[in-house]
Amino acid sequence: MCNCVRLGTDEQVKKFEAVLEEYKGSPDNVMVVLQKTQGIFGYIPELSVKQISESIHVPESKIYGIITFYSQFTLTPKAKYNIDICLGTACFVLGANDVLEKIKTKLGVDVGEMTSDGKWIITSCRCLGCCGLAPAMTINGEVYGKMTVEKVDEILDSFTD
Amino acid sequence: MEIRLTIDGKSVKADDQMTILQVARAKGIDIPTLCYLKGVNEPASCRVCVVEVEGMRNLVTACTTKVKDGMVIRTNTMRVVRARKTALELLLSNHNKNCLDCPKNLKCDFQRLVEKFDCKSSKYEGETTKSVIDDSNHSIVRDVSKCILCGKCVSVCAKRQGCYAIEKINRGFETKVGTNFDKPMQESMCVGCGQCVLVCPTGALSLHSNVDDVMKLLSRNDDVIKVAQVAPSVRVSIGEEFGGKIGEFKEGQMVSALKELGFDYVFDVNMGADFTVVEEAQELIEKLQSGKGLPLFTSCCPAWFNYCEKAYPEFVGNMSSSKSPNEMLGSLVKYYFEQQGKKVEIVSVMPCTAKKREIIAHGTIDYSITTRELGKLIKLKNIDFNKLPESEFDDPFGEYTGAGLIFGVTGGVTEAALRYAVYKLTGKTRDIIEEVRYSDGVKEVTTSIGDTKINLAIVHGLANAPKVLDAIKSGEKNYQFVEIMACPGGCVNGGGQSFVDYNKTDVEEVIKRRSASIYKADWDMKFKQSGENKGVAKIYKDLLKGDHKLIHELLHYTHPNDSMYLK
Amino acid sequence: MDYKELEKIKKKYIGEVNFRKNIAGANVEYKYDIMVCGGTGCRSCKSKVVQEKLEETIKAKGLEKDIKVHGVGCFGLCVNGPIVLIYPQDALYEKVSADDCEEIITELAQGKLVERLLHHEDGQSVEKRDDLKFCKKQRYIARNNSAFMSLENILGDYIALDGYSALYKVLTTMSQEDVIKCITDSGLRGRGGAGFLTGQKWEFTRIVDAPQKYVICNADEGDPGAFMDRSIIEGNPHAIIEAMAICGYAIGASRGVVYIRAEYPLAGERLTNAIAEAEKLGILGDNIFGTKFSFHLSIKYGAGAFVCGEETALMRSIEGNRGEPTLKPPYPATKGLYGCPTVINNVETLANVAQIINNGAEWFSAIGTENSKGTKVFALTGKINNSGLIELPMGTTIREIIYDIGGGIPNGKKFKAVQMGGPSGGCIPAEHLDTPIDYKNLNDLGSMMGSGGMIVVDEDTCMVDLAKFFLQFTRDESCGKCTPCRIGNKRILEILTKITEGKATMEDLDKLEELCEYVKSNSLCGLGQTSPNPVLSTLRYFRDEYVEHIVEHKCRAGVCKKLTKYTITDKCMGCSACSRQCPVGAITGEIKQKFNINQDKCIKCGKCFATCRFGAITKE
Repeated sequence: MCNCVRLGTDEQVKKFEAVLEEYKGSPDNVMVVLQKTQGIFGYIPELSVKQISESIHVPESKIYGIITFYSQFTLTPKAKYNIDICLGTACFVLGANDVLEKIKTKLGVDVGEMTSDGKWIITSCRCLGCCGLAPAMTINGEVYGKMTVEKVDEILDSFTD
Repeated sequence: MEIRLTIDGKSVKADDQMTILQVARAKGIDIPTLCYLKGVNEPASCRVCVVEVEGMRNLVTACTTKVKDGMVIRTNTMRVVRARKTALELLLSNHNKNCLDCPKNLKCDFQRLVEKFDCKSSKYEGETTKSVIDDSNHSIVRDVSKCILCGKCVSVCAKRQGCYAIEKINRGFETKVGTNFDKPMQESMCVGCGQCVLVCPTGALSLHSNVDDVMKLLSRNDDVIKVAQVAPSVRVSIGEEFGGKIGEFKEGQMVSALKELGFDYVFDVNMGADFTVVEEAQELIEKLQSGKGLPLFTSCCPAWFNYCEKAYPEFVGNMSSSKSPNEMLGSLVKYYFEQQGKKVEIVSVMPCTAKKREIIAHGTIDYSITTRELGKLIKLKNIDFNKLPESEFDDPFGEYTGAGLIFGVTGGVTEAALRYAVYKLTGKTRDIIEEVRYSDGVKEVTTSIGDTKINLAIVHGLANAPKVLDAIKSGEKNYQFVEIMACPGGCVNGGGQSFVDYNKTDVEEVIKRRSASIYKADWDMKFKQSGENKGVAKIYKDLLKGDHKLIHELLHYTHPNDSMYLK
Repeated sequence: MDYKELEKIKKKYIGEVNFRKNIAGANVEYKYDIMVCGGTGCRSCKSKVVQEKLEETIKAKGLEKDIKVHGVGCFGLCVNGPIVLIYPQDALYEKVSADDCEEIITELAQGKLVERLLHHEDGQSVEKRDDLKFCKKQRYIARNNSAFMSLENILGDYIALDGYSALYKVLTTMSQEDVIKCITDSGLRGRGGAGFLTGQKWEFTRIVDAPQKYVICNADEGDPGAFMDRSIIEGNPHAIIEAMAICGYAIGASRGVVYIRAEYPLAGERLTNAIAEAEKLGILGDNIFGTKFSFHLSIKYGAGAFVCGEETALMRSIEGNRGEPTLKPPYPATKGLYGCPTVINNVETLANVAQIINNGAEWFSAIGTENSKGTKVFALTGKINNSGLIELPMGTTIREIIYDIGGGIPNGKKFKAVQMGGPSGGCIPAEHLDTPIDYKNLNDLGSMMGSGGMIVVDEDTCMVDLAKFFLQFTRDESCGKCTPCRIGNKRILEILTKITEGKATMEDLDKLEELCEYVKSNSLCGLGQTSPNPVLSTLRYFRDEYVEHIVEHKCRAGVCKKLTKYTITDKCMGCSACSRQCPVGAITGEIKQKFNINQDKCIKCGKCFATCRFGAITKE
């Protein structure tokens, strides 16, 4: 492979290679490898798919089929903060859509889009399993419960960096 | 175990390992299917083969449900008909209904069912999949808006051909068939074998058609000589385009038709195959003597060549430098006419879709059309194929031996080469070499030519190639000669051959019938060994004048840089 | 590992758990135990900070010997988190913050409780946890003991509470047939969806002769509005491990896989740790308790696909494929994971197993109704006061759940329906509030048990919109394999959208019903076969709302924006406040005169309605 195209930092590449080594030749672990790859790079780089394919012996097209089937996998680099808003039933009934609209307006992007400064990306999910706290959302995995339109500014503004 | 069941009121006997579909079809009851391809694709997903089984709450899919003793099945109740109709109407609601422009118009399985079930395209309206035409590939054209997601192409590409060029991508309504990262086909693992096109029930997968180009060529009134050259296996499939039985040998009518179309000369690629035998056997003998560059791989199948470059580039150096019969003959024809100061344009008629790419890579032949395209041309010209008299191929490239003819079947190249090598090295004749014929996919043969023992492997269906290639790579196996044909059964079942209704005839049966037709013609031939082709000897002597440099230039690839792969 | 060792561990920790249970004679050296909820719900309300602060305060006051602090599994009353339990008083504090810790410790050091932190009912604080209305009718089996186990010593406490004794009993005294008979006789049915008899499932797998079999725990809890499985794994992971091993013994499987949602990192982490602990102790692995039985357990994570909760899709996913369901038969019992016979049980189902073994089939089958035995955990959410997790004997009425346990509907609103069974289930209207919950009754009402999600909706919810919500879910989560689900559900959703936008005709309503029936009876897997239920059940009970949308272009709940109309009445004072708030400039007028809304421009955002101080804007 051409050296000028890099997957990520040296450290990330090292970790990635260790993952490939660990699951060498075991096609049924393809999802585990993809999860770990995403854990390392924050997304699944196109170049990594070729290496995964060669290492665990799953055709590239099949890996792509898996990536696009499961909503957890992403092929685009991550924003600094990922707002994952729950659109489960309980959240829906208690007004999650209004909260989502507010966040969309505030950040000026739609669901699945990243803000131009790379700081925020909004995603939605089907039930975080925090229905007792509905409407709920997470920012980089941390749960924010009982959301209201009013709380949006306060919470988002607290991420000053 | 034999059981008894009732189907549409009739009591019938069946084996309990059979499905409802198999029993029904055996009894002449028609059950429509779209996604079912025996043994390869049985997802039970299209839901048009549903039938009613007494005691079951819901309708069941006939393609996957095994029969049981005492089962009472109804295949034609209004409930069944309505369910089938709704499935078709839903499919139709997300289908590009530009049928008049579709290459599959009036040949489309889906269209046939839509007509039969009196479906209304307006019943369910809504969002549809956008039409994106991918014609990046030199052989195959894809249009996802015509796809009904039966999955047959994906299964065939993976299970029969081992290419994994296409896969289902995305989820839910967004699901479609696509390549890795949804890139153009040309950048995928596609080798252009066209097996997917054979099974597609709609026009989602079709070929790059050269029908217009050939029509244009034949309508030109100039001094360019127009040549058609025909591959061995076209003659056992072309009849099917005109209602003939699968595998009928229609060589004479085919030649007449090509002449009627307006070709000045009709030559036989069988003769090109005889040349290939001579050159390739020589190459093998040399390699056996030097012990270098073994095993020798056949290079006449362009889809295999392409696969080798994409999946096993380390073996490209082992490819035979002898050109494919098509390219050999093309080079000779061109040289022959050029020597006379004449211009020539060549159309090759092939059972193959990958040849469309081969001719572009080498630049000698102008167009390569498939058996189906030839059928179309004959129909366009209003030629009544079945009433045509038989004609013979033209000189000086019309003479062939049985060895050249059997190139169209898996094992044929090997058998032809062995016939020649045995004669060449021992002076003896060995005409029918049964042990290299037919196989499940991989056949290993150890045979001797005089004192020399050689190990052979014969592969058909690209999915079987890794078995042999990996064994060679690991040193587990030691072959001297390996024949690989991309399509299961070899060229007789090529991607460009006439369409077959697999609901009526399994692909195995198709291969068997077409192969049998070729073997019978071979049996009937006076000369079965390429060395006996007097025409070939004459060309070597009179046209090529024994000039080794010229022979090499015309009949060999300047190996290995002469890549098939178009970057 | 042998029985003696198990006994030893039990002896070591039994004092602590008995102390928490307030059993006489429990001898511990400290005086009080504080347990802070460490479930995902409370964690998100910073319960971890509370726990740390409590520890810090105790240390600062030098009370380490008197008061211990632990994490504990989910208690259920998630809406009022963070929850803190005080033992031996068995008091429950709610909405505890770090600022409360000083007071909690100071008071507790003197044996006193902080009254304001206790749960209040009818203006009165409730001192004992069991006296809470929320708790009174509950009966814990699947969620048994989780309030008494310290997360820091989860294996020890589990064993002290008789954990792994059922596995020991099974391996040393029972045959495979005995185990299956016991589970079958108990009447335990699958808690994940269709409610198949667990014992039968095991028996079908046991009788197949195969060198390799599998036990799978389905922890891909995907129904929106259900989170009991997550809470069980987070709070009591060893119950699942023990049950899987018991099942493995009963069917002859030496391998187990837990398939868990990727959205549940905490549950995954706790289960991973628990497996490691069990392996270390020799409860998992080769020759468990010195018998011939070996059992190995691994975890696989899902990657965000609801359909993977369907058992065949789940297995395809474990094998590393797109999670597309395959046709049944063959059933997993004959041809499951990697083609081997496989039992797939849901988390809550498994959580009952060890106790059935220990207490006997009759004990379990005595609870519940004729066709539904034992208890069921429900996730009560939506427009309800006490939302959270509850476990109740089968046969409890919906009314009891909503009004007694759930504390009724907030803000004095009117109950409209409860949606049960997630995207596969249906709505139950007010007239059926007195239905005792069991598998059969719910099916008869056009709903289903499903995984036990109960989402309460009030008069502010539009039933068409709710059906549309579920179909959006199905559209997004359909795997796309079979025609009815892939295209049928898409078309159903499109018709529903037309209805909510006032563009549909009565003919569309017929088409909708017809299509729903088609998708229901022709889809390949359970997801597709149940996906039209939310539409069919709302059509059954709230057909008038559909008709209203179509004929009168009216949404009585005022939810369907395209049908909502805002108008300014004569009450308008001409203050221009609404006009200034309108994001699209649809409101014009002159100061001190009546303003007007341009209906063509209006996007029905409702800002004007919220802004007007004079009640001059009407919404209809």
